[in-house]
Amino acid sequence: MTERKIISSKSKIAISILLIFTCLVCVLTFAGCGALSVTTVKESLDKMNTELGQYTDVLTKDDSAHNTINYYKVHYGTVVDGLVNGGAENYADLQIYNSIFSIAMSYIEENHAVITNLTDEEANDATKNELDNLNSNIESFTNEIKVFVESKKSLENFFNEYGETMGEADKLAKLREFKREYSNFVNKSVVLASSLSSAVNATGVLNDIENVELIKNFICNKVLSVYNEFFIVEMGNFNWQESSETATKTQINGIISSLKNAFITYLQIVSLNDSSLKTLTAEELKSITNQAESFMTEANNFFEALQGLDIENLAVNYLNDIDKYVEDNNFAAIYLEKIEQFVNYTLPNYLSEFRASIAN
Amino acid sequence: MKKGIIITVIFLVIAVVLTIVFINLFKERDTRDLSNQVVDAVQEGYLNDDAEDTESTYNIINNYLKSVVSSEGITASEVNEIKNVRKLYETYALVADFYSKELVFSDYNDTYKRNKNDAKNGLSEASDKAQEMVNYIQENAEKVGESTSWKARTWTDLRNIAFTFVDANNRAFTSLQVIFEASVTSSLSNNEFSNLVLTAINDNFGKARNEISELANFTDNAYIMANSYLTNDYLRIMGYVYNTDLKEKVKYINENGTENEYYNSLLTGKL
Repeated sequence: MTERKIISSKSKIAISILLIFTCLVCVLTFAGCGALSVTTVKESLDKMNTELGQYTDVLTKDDSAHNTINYYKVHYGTVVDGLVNGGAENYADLQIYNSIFSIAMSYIEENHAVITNLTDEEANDATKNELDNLNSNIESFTNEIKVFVESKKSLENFFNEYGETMGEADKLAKLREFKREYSNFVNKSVVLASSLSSAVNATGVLNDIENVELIKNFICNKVLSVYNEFFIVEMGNFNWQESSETATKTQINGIISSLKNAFITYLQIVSLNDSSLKTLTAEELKSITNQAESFMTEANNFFEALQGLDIENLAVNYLNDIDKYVEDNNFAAIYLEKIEQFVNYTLPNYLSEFRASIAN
Repeated sequence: MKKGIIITVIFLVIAVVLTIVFINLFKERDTRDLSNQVVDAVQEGYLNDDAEDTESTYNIINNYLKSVVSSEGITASEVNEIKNVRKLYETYALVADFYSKELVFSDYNDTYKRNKNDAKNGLSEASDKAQEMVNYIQENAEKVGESTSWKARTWTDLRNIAFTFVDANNRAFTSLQVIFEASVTSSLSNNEFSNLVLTAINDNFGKARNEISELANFTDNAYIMANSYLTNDYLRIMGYVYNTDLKEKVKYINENGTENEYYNSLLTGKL
């Protein structure tokens, strides 16, 4: 009798553990099912704008019509502003950072209404699925604003106080420290713009051929990720200019130069306003969409190659010697070729094709 | 006791089934394996055709073939065999270089999975046969280097290994083409024109093997196409999507077969 009771207890314990485990799995599975509301996203955007509004001395907004490229002009203080505007080496890159940031912010401000004007009843399932990610990126960016502003103020104070006395090496070290923070800030703005564009796309509004400017902005926002991945994510955290001089460095400098030229073409397309855009037919819209999809496939290979090559690792640990690097990363030379192919050929050809498809 | 064992067995079976299900759900679909093998073969292995690397497998075999073809006592059909094998080897290196740059950026899918082992096994066998040839050449270096009549007899020893080498490569490149077309995501490098070029090259590989002892154009055709379309950043393949004229010609060939001027232009590297 006692023996049978012991066995029965053990079975009950085993079954209980199994049931608890099953319940836990169910709870965790269903935990993510509640979607965020449009109202919450609106509130988060309001908080973001309030936060930005507190720092207009650092982030000056230019409200003139369609001024996308300088939508937010970042001021670094008199000394550094002079160096940036004068095109001084190591400082001039901050203009690219500012442009990328401005384009991302301009996209957010011009397109958020596509989402925030919806009620929760009007939002379709595809849009609702994007809200969680969008809201999370708004919050992440908002939290970064003050951190960036303080980093900028630290840079400004440093140059005001020590600009005359400090050596170039110390100034560059301070600049690098600021660039790392600035890269993080710009990247978050681009990620936010990208999640907004996914939400906009989910609404179906881009299938309407009347919305040419929305379509243009959507595609330009996609292309922005190319510049962000290279200038901000890949190159933004170390001092490329001071790295070892080799044939590989010359090759990568060629890539940077081509990318900067393509950026000029890109900025021209970004600046196109309504009156410069064609009226599209359904067939033209389909063609533009197909072109953009093909281009993003190429861009994804470019991102994969950038990540695989890891230029910082090549510069810092292998002193820009690709032959040495290949011994430990056998795809390195292939990644470098793919990056070069994309920047020299794929990107400029796509920008030409896109411009011809969309502009008068 | 019996109940306890039964319950334990049931739990074990459930655990094993769940483990198998989760492993299959989350198993990494890895395209690196094949890419690695192709890249290694091209960068350091038997498909490395870098002229400066004089001790490479490719250069040892290539130099041997160059010298043996004019040996005393070599027959006309043997001359054809040697020339064909040499040209095929040169072409394999060019085509493999193209694949090495593109297979890195491919998606895993059923076609990839079904053909991967054929490609890998073909490359492995070809590499082994190449090494066999190198071993023979190096062991017989004196005979190969000096006496031209003895050199001709070395071909008798090597020819079957060389033919097996060609067969293995042909199998590998057939599978690589199938994988390339199904898996490489870029429409700039994987399009109707690249597919036409690779099909034509593989066709000529096959025909060259069938008539390996004959003086035919197949190896030259394959080499010319590989050299014209797959090297120097393969800009003509990349430019296909923007080239309406080329699109028309490729469409014509695909609809009308190989007996036309456009296909002839393809073979001569002028399409």
